[in-house]
Amino acid sequence: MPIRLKRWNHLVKIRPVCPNAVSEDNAWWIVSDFWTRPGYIQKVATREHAMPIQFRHDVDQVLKDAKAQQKPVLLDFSAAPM
Amino acid sequence: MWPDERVVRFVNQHFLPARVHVKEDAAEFKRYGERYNALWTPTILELDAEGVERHRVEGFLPADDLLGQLTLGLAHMAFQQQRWADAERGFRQVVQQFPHTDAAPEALYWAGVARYKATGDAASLKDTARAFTQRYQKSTWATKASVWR
Repeated sequence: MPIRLKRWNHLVKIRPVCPNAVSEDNAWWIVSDFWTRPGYIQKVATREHAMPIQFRHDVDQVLKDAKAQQKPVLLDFSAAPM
Repeated sequence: MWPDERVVRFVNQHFLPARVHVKEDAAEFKRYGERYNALWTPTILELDAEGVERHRVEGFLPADDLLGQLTLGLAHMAFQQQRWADAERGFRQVVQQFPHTDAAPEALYWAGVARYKATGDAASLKDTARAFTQRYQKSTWATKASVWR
């Protein structure tokens, strides 16, 4: 389990707590500032893994926000099924 | 391409993403289509913070090619803003990370230009021309760089 968890280190903050004090299955971890058991870590990571791009459709406001934040805009002209 | 995890992460990290759908947002699609001369789907525009188009991707691309183009667009944006070091870094990132995409030879060309802009040293152009003798020899960008030899 610890080796597999390393794959998710770029997505969630994980570190073992008292790794020698408890068995691996009962160990508790910190995930994105929340305490959780190892089994939950995969669920959290999977959810982040599949999170889609949050496209906004209020383009005028996006352009205003971009100017305020000095951030580029990706504008997608799409015909894909929604 | 959008379900690809790397594309999702890249877009969320670098852009404010917006979409106009040809049917669902028909009025907006027409308005922005005319404003940015986007008459076909999919068309992806990279706009700078002022709303000025800096790069365009028309038609479907696999994830690596799309990531190469998006990275290239950000580098072009830095170039337009005369952030030469950022621009060169972005162009070289395209060549290193997406060497087999169409974006790579273009990026190799502009990396040389960005370095020349930063240093004023024509050796960077010669080096680029020389690099094109090793890779992407048949690309249009190799032809363009050939005058620097």
